[in-house]
Amino acid sequence: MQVSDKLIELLAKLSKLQLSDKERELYAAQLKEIIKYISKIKSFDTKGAKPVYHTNISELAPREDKQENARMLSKKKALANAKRVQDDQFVVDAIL
Amino acid sequence: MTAVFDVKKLKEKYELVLGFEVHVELRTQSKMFCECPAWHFEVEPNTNVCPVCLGLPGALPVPNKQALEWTILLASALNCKINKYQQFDRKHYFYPDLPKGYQITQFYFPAGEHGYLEIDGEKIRIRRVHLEEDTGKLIHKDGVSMVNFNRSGVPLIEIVTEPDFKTPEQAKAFLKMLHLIVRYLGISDADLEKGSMRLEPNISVRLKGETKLPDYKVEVKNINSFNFAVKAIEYEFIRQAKLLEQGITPEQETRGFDPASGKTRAQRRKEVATDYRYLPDPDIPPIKFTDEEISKIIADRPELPYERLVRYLNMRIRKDAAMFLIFNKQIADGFDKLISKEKGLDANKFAVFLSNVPETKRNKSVEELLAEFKAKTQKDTLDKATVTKLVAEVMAENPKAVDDYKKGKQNAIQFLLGQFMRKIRRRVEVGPIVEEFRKQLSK
Amino acid sequence: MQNWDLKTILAKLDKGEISSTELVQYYLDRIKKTDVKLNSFISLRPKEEILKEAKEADKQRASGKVRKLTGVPIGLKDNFLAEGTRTTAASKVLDNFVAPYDATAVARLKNEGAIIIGKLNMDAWAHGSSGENSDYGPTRNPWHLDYTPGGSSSGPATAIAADLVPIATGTDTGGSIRLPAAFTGVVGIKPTYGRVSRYGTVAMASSTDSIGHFSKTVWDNAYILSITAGHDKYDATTSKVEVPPYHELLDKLDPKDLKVGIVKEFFDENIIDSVVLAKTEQAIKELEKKGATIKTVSIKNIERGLELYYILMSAEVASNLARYDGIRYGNDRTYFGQEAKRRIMLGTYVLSDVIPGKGLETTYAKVAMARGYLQQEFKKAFKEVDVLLTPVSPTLPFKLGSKTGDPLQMYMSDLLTVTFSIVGVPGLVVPIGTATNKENVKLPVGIQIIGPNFSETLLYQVGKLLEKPEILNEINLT
Repeated sequence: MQVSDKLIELLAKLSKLQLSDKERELYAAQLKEIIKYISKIKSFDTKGAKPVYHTNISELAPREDKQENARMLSKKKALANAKRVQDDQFVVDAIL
Repeated sequence: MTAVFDVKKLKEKYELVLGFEVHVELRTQSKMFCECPAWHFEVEPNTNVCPVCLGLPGALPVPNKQALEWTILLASALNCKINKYQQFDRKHYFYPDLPKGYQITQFYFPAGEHGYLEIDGEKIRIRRVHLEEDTGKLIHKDGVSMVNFNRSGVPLIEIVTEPDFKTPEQAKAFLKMLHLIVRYLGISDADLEKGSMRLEPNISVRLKGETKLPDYKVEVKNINSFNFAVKAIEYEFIRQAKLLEQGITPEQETRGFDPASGKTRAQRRKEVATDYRYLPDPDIPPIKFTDEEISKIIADRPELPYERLVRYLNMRIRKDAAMFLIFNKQIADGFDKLISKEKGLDANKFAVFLSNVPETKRNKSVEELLAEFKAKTQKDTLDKATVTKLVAEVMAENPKAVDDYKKGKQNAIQFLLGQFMRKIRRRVEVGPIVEEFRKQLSK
Repeated sequence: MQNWDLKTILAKLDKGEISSTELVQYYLDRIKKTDVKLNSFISLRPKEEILKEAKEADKQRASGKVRKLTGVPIGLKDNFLAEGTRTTAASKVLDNFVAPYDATAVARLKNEGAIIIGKLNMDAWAHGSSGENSDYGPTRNPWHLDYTPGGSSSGPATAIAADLVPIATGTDTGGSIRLPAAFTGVVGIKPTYGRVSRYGTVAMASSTDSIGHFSKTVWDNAYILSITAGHDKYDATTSKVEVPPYHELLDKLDPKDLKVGIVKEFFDENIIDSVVLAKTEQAIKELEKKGATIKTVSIKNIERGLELYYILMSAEVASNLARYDGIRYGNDRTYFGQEAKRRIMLGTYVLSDVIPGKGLETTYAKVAMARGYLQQEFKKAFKEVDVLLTPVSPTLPFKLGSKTGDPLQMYMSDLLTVTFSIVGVPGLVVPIGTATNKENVKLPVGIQIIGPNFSETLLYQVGKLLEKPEILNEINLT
């Protein structure tokens, strides 16, 4: 598996990360080693075991459809941590 | 260079490959993964929010049981195979209205699959019906974009069809029936203008007779009426056919419909290949329904429009009147009540009468309309003595007809009945009269 | 140094020998004096607020209204949201984030009257085994300031060892409570996955994140777990299994009834430091003298946990960090540190379908199968023995800066802890003594006690037989 600068660029784009040229080089080298290491899993014969995606709980107990106020945040609290707010809404640079 | 195209020739040479994705917002009390109110229309921005639907650090989703059950309900109404084992998965992409950077949806194990709806005798196949959460609302103003998360986390059912539609009109009929089914089930307001039902056609074009699916498809957004859907499809067909005619494969993209011009416009192109990096959500254990639970959900299902249609047709109600009734549920509900109460009411005639009531007068109660119907079609019932006397008179005045009947000519009785009606010159119940004729003729 | 454990504190508060106000003042003074060397706190709550709560606690105590932790100061790892506190997860991305709600674990402690002193340092986003990935500077080991206290719960472990608070919460995703507990000589619990609610803690790897805590003694630790554990309607992965009063059951175990398993694969002198091995074997021998049966067990592929963990954890990390876009809170993604970026990209690689040439082996699905396989292996092992005992780390605590150049080298620190995280079982670490390294520095040694799901009662009972909390008196912090 070739861990090239191009792959790092693709991964950075997919993860919405900005990398400097130096960083790209560094990560390419490091991820190459790490991916080589984790690829060892190829030799792990799981002998047809059943996949377990959820660690200790096998079935969901869903929630009744009820409104509750306990966790609701006031508008003030909801917006308090945002850097840019306008018209009681969260602001970003124009999309489109 | 502007090429000149003969639209008629294009329509003869090419055919439409059309499928739909429909989203239905559920009218649950609370959101899909938290207890915030699900109702968000015209609510002050960012007031129906909590750590979960705002995507704050540390927040965790807990699924809404009603939403799960309603999804099975709709999937069953669409003749799907219901999955007893369902799962929620994370679909990753970055967008300001998507607070967690992923949408929780059912990708690997949807609620229902491989269903269909019959429209005018043709089967439209349904690929899948699954449950997911809605995003916040993004609006553009003053050179910026702003996000309101009241809608974030509201439960959505997504219905995906196979590309089985042959014409835009067929699609419209399907969408109208789907809309009706959703309303009958009571799971959503399905208001196209308010956005609680959203339509997205997937359109491509190929040479007529070709069976292979084209290797591109165009998705169109911002369609908020069935008629606009038809317009958008018609526009896209021509646009794509023209490109194909020039040897150009239309780009796989998402376009927006512009209601003012009736055209579709390109939206910003995606730079990276679509890679949602689906991940079974570790925060939500798998959902396991038993056969009994699913059977109960289906057993408690209200009568569906196409089931009602069959019931009306079996009552010998004219098809167009029956269609009118199923599409006007309130009137049909009243109709059903009266039919069972009023013995002797001609269901078909009353149904036809109702279907002809102008739209402006339809807000009258069905009882009122019944009164109008009766007044219009009222037939007197003659008293027995009068009937006996008049039947004897008509028989005496028409000996040849009497003779014909006795010789075996059954429809002579129609002639005699006609003579009777000419005598009294008004509408009366014919049943008792015909009976009296038979009685006297058999003597 | 006072070095009181929680049990002693509760007794003294109860008898009126000390007030909560005095207690809190003691810790605040100590923090002021000592933490400048250790850097275990990222932020402290305003002094006036803390003292006000202490005063209130004293009043309640006077009127007989005493709850389980009335007036007891605690520290929270900075990935626990506590309403009104700056919560950074030690990352500049959340430098200015003020939590608008309480984590469930925090609410439960507050409901019992605990007083939050401040937020403790950690590896940013809990990514690390040494505390050196913090955006606010590393925490130093109170045993020797040139050494790491372990990570990612570097601050919490240090605060306990240095007597800055009697109780500190932590999280353990691959060893982040167990390793620092061993490196600082304190008691740390990684409960069964699903035992304690994760609601309100910054998610790292959702399928292994376990919410636990640090203390000086096993009794203290058990007492706190009886408060934080239990089903939470806000966390669908929590268990409905009953929560026993752990601290009341500590003496109920007769060592003669105990079957201890030594995991063959983890007692390999090729991978474990001889000093660590010697100390661990010594502790096991002491247990044997008390009557326990010691048996060697083999758990095939247990040492493969690291590969599995880095695939699984990075995938879930990449997913869980997707929400940090700077729009609703915090700073944008350019503020992520190196380790976070590395793990996010690795996770994106694992989950992606568009990487040309990527093999199917490094997929999340394969790890899920490995988990299923390993859970079966563990089931088999626990039919033969009641608990497993293993060393916690392949080495004694290492020097700050000695592994930062090589990410893979750093990941190896987790070798003895990760497999248990993947499988979901609980693990308790207790101090068993000290050892001197090649530079003649005296450092603590811990032992890891592993049991089947929801066996915390047994772990604490075994821990009680093994713990040596007195070693904390050997810390010489001037």
